[in-house]
Amino acid sequence: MVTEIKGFKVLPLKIPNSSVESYIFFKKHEVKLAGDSESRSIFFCNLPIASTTKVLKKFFQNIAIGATMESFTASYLTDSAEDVFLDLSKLTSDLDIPSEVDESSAKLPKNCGIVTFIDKSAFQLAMNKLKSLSSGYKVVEWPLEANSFGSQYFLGKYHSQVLDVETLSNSVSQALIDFDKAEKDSIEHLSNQRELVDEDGFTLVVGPQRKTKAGILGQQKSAIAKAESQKAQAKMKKKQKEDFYRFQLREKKKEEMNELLRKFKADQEKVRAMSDKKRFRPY
Amino acid sequence: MGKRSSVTSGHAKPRVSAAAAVDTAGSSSKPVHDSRESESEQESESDEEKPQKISHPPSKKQRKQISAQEIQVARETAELFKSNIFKLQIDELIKEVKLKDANIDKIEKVLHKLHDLIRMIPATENLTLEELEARFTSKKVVIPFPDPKPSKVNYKFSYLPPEDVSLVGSFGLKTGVSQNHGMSVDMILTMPKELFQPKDYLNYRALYKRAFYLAYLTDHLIPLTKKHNLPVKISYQYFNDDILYPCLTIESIKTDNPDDLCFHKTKFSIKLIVGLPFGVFENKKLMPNKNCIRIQSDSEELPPTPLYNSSILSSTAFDYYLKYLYTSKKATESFKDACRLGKIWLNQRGFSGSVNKGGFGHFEFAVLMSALLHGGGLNGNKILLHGFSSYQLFKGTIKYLATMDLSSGYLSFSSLIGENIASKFNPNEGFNVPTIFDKNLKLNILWKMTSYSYNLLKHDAIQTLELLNDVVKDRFDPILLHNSNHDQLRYDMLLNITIPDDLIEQFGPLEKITFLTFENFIMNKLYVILKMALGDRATQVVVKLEKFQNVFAIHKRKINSQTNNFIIGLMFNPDECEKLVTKGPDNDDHEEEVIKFRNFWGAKASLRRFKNGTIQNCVVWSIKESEPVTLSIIKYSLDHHLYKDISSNISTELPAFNKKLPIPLLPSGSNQPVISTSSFANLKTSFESLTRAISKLSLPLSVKSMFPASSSLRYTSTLQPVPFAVSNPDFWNEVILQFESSAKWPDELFALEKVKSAFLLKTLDELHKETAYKAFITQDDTIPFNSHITILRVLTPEGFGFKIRVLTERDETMYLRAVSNADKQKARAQDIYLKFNQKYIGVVKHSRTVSTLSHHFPFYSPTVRLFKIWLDSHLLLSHFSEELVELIALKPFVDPAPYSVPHSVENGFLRILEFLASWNWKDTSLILDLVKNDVGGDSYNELDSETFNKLSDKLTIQTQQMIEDNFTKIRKNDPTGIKTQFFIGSKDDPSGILWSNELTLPIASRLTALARSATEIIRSSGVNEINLNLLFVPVLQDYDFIIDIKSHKLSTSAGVLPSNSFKNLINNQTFFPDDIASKYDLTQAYIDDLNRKFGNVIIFSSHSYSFLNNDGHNIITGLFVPATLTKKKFRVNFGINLKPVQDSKDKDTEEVIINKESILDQIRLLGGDLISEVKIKG
Repeated sequence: MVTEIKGFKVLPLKIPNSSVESYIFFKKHEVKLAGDSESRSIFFCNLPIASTTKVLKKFFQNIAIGATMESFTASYLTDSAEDVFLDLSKLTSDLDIPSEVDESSAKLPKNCGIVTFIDKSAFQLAMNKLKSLSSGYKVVEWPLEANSFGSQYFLGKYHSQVLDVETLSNSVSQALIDFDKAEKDSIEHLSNQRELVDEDGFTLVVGPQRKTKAGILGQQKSAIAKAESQKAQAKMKKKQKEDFYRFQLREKKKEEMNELLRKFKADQEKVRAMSDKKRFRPY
Repeated sequence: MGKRSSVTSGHAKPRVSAAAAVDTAGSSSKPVHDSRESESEQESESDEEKPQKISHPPSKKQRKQISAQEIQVARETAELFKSNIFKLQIDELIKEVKLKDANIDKIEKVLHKLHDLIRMIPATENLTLEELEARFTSKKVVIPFPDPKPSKVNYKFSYLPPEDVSLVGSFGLKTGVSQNHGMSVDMILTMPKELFQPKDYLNYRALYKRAFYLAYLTDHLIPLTKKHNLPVKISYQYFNDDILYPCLTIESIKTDNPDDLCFHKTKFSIKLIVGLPFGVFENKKLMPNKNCIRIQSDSEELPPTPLYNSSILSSTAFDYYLKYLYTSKKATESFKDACRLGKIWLNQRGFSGSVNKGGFGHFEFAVLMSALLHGGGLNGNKILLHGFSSYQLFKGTIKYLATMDLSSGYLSFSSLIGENIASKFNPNEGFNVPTIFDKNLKLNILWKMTSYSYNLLKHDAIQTLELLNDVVKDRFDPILLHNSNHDQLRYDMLLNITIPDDLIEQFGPLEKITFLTFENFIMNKLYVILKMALGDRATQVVVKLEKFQNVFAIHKRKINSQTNNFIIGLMFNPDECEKLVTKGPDNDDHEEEVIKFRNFWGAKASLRRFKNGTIQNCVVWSIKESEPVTLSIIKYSLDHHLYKDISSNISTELPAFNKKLPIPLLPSGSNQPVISTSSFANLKTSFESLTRAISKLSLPLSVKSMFPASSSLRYTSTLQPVPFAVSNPDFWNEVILQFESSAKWPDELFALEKVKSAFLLKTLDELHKETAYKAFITQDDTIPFNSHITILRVLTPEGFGFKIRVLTERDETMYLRAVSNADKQKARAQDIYLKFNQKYIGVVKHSRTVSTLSHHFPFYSPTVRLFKIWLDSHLLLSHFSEELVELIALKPFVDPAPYSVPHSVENGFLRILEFLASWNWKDTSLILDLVKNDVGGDSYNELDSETFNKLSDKLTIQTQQMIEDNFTKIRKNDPTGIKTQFFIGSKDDPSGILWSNELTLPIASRLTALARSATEIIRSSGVNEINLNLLFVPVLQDYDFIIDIKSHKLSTSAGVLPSNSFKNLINNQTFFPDDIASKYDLTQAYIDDLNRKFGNVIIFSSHSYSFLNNDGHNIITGLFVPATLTKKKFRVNFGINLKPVQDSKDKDTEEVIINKESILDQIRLLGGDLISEVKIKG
C-alpha cells in the first residue's frame, strides 16, 4: 500500500454509492510569508467533486472532533474548463481596485484546496488524525450527500443564473464607487509624477494604453484600405518623375521582368508539388 | 486587343515569353506562359495569324523596344497568376493521361496481326438469304440483323476483302487519353463498293448486307485467331449504342503460352467496325429530313428518319473525317492537346459519343473545333485561330458551346479539305434539334444528341466558362480533374420510373422508324411531357436508361430487351419550383393556347382571378406531406399523358430527405413548402418590435443599434422558431445592443461590465414601466474569466425570447490589452479575445451575411438545418460553433463547381457530405466568397457578368491571396493540424480561424470519417430510405462509456411535432410557464458541469436536440483523452483524479495513474436521478 508519495500523505476515501476508493493527497501547507510564526493549514490535492467548505467541515467533524476549521480555500479552476487562471482585471488595468479575486485561490491547481484551522492545536489535531488514517490505510467516508445532485441540482444551476435586481444593483454601484476612487487616486498619482522633474530634467510621459489586433488575427487590412493608401502614395509620387532618366526606365523594366520570372518559378514549384501529390490523376 | 510581347530578363538563361494572345472575343486576355516549347509564340491580329518564331535571343535593339503597353501586359500576366499555373497544370495533366509507349507498341503489334488475319479471309459471293440462313444455323455465329429481320429479299449477299482497313477515332488521330475503365481502338474495315447498289440505303438493305459481312468476318476470324496465337474473346457490340450498327469488340484472353500475343495488361480492347464505302449513296437522299424506311401507312407522308439516315451516312465517312481532322491537327499545333483536354472534360461529365451518354464525345468535340478554326461566327468570322494554345482552343470551344444556341440556330461547316469554306453560324434558323451541319456530307454531326443531352452539355459548358473566367481562384480542379458524373450530386431530384410493358402498344410502325427503339421513344415522350408540365420550374430535364447493355454474344442476333427502368434527373429553378400555382395564358388570350393549356392539364385546370385583376388559366397544387410540388406535378402529368397510374411506378428519395426535417408545432406546420420561412419571419417581426420598443425608452445613452445574432434570426436554426417553445435550445435569441458612443466607459474590464449592467438594469426598469415585455437579468459565462457579464433576457408577448448583451467601443481594446499584457499566458488570452470577437463582433457580421444568403439561396435554410440534425444525431453538433457549421454548409451554395448550386434539400445535404469527405483540411484552406452569385444560370452574357463583377463585392485577388497567406502561415507552424484544423476564411473573417478555433483534432477527424463513410454508403448502394436512416444512426462502439439519460418529453415544449403523433391531438403552446427553467433540458446543464469538472480528461458528447430522436432519449458518451491514461510521476497540478500505482515490489513508487472508476462514480453521483444506466466498454 502506498501511503506516501513525494512528501504527500495518501488518504483513501469512499464517496457515496461508490465501490472503489478515491484518494486525496495532503501535506502541511508551508506559507513562507505568513503572519503567524507557524502555519496552521493543510494542503489537499485530488479532492472529489463538490468539495465545499460545508463538506470539509463535516469531514473534520467526523474524523477529528475539535479540529475546528477557520476557512477553506478552493481553487478557481476546480469547476472550470480552464487550466490556468487569468485575472482580466489586472491584465486590463493597473488601477488598484479592491478585487474579488483571491490570490491564493487563483494560484491553486485544479481539484486542490487549503484548509486553515482556527488555531495551532486544531491544526495539530486534524493533521495527526489524518496521518494516522493514512498510515493505517483506513478508508474514510467522504461526507457528500448523494441525493443533493441530479435534477434538482441542475435546475438550481439554471435558477441561480437569474440575478436578483436589488443585489445586482447594489454590487454594481459599490463596484463603480470603488473604481472611481481607484481611478481618481491613480490620476492624482500620475499628475504628481508628471510634475516631477527628475535629476536629468526629464518628466514622465504618460500615454494611453491602446493595442492593435493584427498580431492575433493575422493581416486584417482589407484590400480597399490598401488600395486607398496606395492611391495616396501614388499621388505623392506623381510629383516626382520616375521615368525621366533612362536608368530609371531600365531599372523598372528589369524589376518587372524579374518579378514575372519569380512568379513563374513559384508557379512551377507549386505545380511540381501538386504533381508530387499525384493530383493530376483525372480518374 | 492584346499586343504581342516578347520580353526576356536580359541575362537570365530560362527566358520567359509572355504571350498575351488574343482571346476569342478579344474582351479579356489570357496570357499563357510556355517555357517548354522554345520561345515561340504566336499572336494574331484580326483574322490573320502570323506565327512568329524567335529562335535567337532578342538583340539589344529589340529589348529597347519594349513599350509601356507591353509592360502593362506583362504585369497583367503576373497578376493573373492563374493562367500561368493553368498552363503548367495542363502540361502535367497531359503528361499524366498520355498513353504509355509500351502499350502502344504492343497494341500496334496486335493490330498488324489482326490486319494480316483479315486479309486471309476468303471471299464469297452471291449468297441468297436462304443460303445464309442455312450457313449460319450453327450455334456459334448468328448474323446480327437489325430489326425487322429480313424475310424475302431479292438481292444477294457477298463478302469481298475490305477495300480499306484503317485506324480511326482518337487512337487513329493520336489524341487518345488513358482511361481507367480501359481504352478501345477503333479499326475500320470498309466494304468494297461493288457490294452495293445505289438504292441500298433504303429499307435496311445496306444494313443487312453489312450485318452479313460482319458475321462472315467473325465466323472466319475466330478460327484464324486461334490458329495464329492471338487468344481473344470476340463479341458483338452496338457501335455508339446505335442498335442499327453492330460491330465486333475484341478483348484479350490471358494465357500461359509464351507464344500467344496477349494484350490484356494494356487495358485496350479493339473495335472492328465495318464501314460503308464513301460516297456510295447519294448523300442528299440521306438528309435528316428525308424518309428512307418505306412502310405502309395511312398517313400521306411518311415521317423523316433522321437516326437511320445519319447512322448510314456517318458509317460511310470514318476515313473521310479522320482525314479532315488530321488536316486540322497538322495546321494547328495545339489541336492534339486541345482534343485531349476536350476528351477529359467530356469524360468527367459523363459525355461520350454513345447515344446513351449524350452523343457528344471526342469526335464531335474535334469536329466542332475544326469547324471553328474555319469560322463559326455570324459572318463566318473565325472563332479559333491556328496559333492558339491548347488552353485557348479549349476555352474557345467551350465558350462557343456555352454561348451559341445550336438548337434554335445551327452551325454549318464544310468538311471538304483544301477548299477553305467558312463555317457559319445561322441564328434562329435551327431545327429545334442540336445541329452542326456538314454541308459537304449533308450530315448533322450531332445526330446522336437529344434535346436534353444538348441542354445538359450547354449547361456544363456555361459553368466551365464561368470557371475559366474566374481570375481569383485556381479552378483547374473542378474543370478537368473532378469527376462530376454522379447523378445523386448532379441533380436536384432523381426519379426512377418503371415503364409497364403495355406501353409498347403506343410504339407503332411510324414511331418505330422515327425513334428506332422503344426506349428512345419513351425517353422522348417523358421529356416532352415533363418539359411541358414543369415549365420554368426545372432548368434541366434529363432522361436516361437505368442501364444499357450494348455488348452481346456472337450467337445472338440482338439484345432482346433493355431495361424498363428509366432515370429522370431534374435541376430546379429555385424561384419557381415550389410555387403552388402553375399559371397558364390569360383567358382572353389566343384561344389556341387556352385550349392547349386546358387539354394538357385536364380536370386540374381552372380559372382564377388574381389580385391585379387578371383572370388566368391556372393549376393549383396542394402540399402533401413533405412531397414537393414538383413531384405532384410530375406524377399528375405522367398519369394523365403517359399511362394511367404510372405514378405508382415512380420512386424518388427526395421526400425522405424532407421528412427528416422536424415539423414545427404551428397551425400550418405540416403543409408548408420545405423552403417556407414564415416561422422565421414571425420571429423577425417580434425582434423588430422589440428593437423599436427599446429605442424609444429614455436611457442615459440612446440606443444606436440592436443587431440580430442568433441562428434563428438568420434562418439557420435546427428547429423553426415556434412561439413559447422554451425547451428549444435555441429559444433565446442573442441580440447585440450598442449605445451611442461615449468616452466615459471605464478603462478596466470589470468596471466596464458593471457599467453595462447598470445600463441593463435601467433598461429593465424602463421596459417594465413602459411596455408589456417581461424581462430579467442573468449572469453570463460565455467569456472565460469574465464572470461580470450580465445579459438582459426579454420575453415578448408574441412568445419569443431575446437575450441582449451590450457591446461598447471600449470592449475590444480591453481584451486586446489583456492579450498584450498576458505574457506567458498569451495564447490563452488570445483565445479569450477570439471568444469575445465571436460573441460580440463576428456573430453580427456572420448573421448579416448568412441571412442575406439565405434569401438568395432558398434551399440553404432547410439544407443547413438538415445538416445540423445529422451532426446532432452523431453527437457532434455540440462540438462545433453553429457559425462554423453554417459556413461549411454554405460551401456547395457559394462555390458549387463542378456541379451547380443545389436546389433541393437532398442535393444540398449530399453535396455537403461530399465536400466534407473530400476536404483535405491539412493541405487546403476553404475560402468562401460569401456574396450572391449567378453562376449556373443558363443564360450567359459576358458583358453582364463583367459589369456584375465590377459592381459586386466579390473577393479580389488581393484579399484571396491575403487569406491564403494567413493559412500558409498557420500551417507553417502547425503542419499536421494539431492546433488548427479547419481553416475557413471569408471577407467577414480573413483570419480563417474565428469559428474553428475551439475545434479539436479528434472531432475534426471524426467529422471527416463520418462524412466519408456516409458518401461511401451512398456511392455503393445509392440512396433509399433505409440507407438514409442509416446515415443518421450514431456509431457508439468507439466511446469508453455511455450514460443513458432518462427520457424527458420535451418535444411539445420545444415546438416540434413528436413523431408518430397527430397534429390535431396536440395543442400549440400559448403562454410561458411560470418557471421557464423547469422546461429547460437538464441534460445540457449536466454536460456543462461535466465539462467543467472532467473536460480535461474526457471528451463528452451528447445530443443537443434529444427530442428529435424517436423517444426523446438522450445519451452522454465519454471518451478518455489518451494522453491522460498513462502512468506519470506525481505532481499536484495534473487536475486529474489520480490514484497511486499499487506496486507490491517497489513501495516507494512516485507514480500515479488516472482513477477511472472513481471518476465514473463521481459522474454517476453528479447525474443522480437523471441517469438511467451507465454502460462501460469492455
